[in-house]
Amino acid sequence: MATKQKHSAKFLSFIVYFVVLFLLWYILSGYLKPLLLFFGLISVLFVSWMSYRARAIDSDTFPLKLLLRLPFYWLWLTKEIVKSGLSTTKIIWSNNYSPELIKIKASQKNSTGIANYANAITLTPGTVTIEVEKNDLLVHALSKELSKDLQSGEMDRFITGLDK
Amino acid sequence: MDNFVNILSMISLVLGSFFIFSGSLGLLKLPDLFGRIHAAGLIDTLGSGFIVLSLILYSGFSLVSFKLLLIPLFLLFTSPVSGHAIALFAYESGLKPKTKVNKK
Amino acid sequence: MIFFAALSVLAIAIILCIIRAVKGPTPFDRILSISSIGTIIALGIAIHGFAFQRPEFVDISLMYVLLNFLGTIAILRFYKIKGKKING
Repeated sequence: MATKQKHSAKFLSFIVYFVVLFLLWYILSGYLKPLLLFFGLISVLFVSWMSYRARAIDSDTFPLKLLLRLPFYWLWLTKEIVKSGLSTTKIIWSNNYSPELIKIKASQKNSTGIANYANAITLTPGTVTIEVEKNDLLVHALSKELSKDLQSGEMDRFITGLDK
Repeated sequence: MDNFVNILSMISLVLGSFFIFSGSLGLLKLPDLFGRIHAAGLIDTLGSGFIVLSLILYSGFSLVSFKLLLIPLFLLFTSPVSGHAIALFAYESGLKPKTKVNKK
Repeated sequence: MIFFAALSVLAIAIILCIIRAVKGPTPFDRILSISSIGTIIALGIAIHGFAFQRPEFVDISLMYVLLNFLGTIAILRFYKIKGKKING
């Protein structure tokens, strides 16, 4: 039963992959003639079959529960980026450079969650993940304010809540 | 209404150029490598975001605006990877940032 | 007109990045500033396309972003394989 469930999750991932690739093809080309659409369909099918054979697709490629929450996540991420980007700009122009190196714990269970968290930390300007070892992240922060923001654990809780 | 959108697009273009300029100023000004990575991140996120927003507002809604949206999307995926890779390789090859490690 | 003002600001930013790339004490500084130059040029291509009424330039800009990322990772990998200790 478990293997069957896994198999169907894999198939669903394949479908989502196919749809995303076809949307990308349409956006990049912009053609609507039936013949060209058919050629696009063939090439997209070929590429997704190749990735399937190379085992690039499994049930982890598109975590579907996460995919539904993606718009909220991006909105929240934009807010965070603007907030910390403004404080980084202030530091660059005002010339007080006092960086900090901190260690924080990630409370996510699986590796996808930890990768998500480390990515979000690196993406917000002002904090960069240097090293990841299991649940410990070594983070370089540009100022005391930014590192305190990170240590309060708001970002950690949000990304853990994403995976529930 | 059209005028309003145009003005909004201009403001966004100016903001984007300002963030790109301050990012490269930080790249020049900050004293060590790990600080400069933050400045490069500023260019990749806020600079590209505001400039693409301005171009979308200018061009109106069409297929080109989707293409424009793909630029910050790709940057969103690639910028943290290259930033983290540079930081990790520099750290492993013995380049330590100029601070003390305080544990938490 | 405002597009040309933005393009000149971007050109000044590129010059600042080039100064860092020439001065940079470690190879990582140079790689970082080269990748920043790539991002700025990609955005500049997009702005240039709209300034001359030819939005097709966006495709080139997209390609530039992806190749820039690949180039950064490839150069970093080269330094990793060399396994050199760098003190700067």
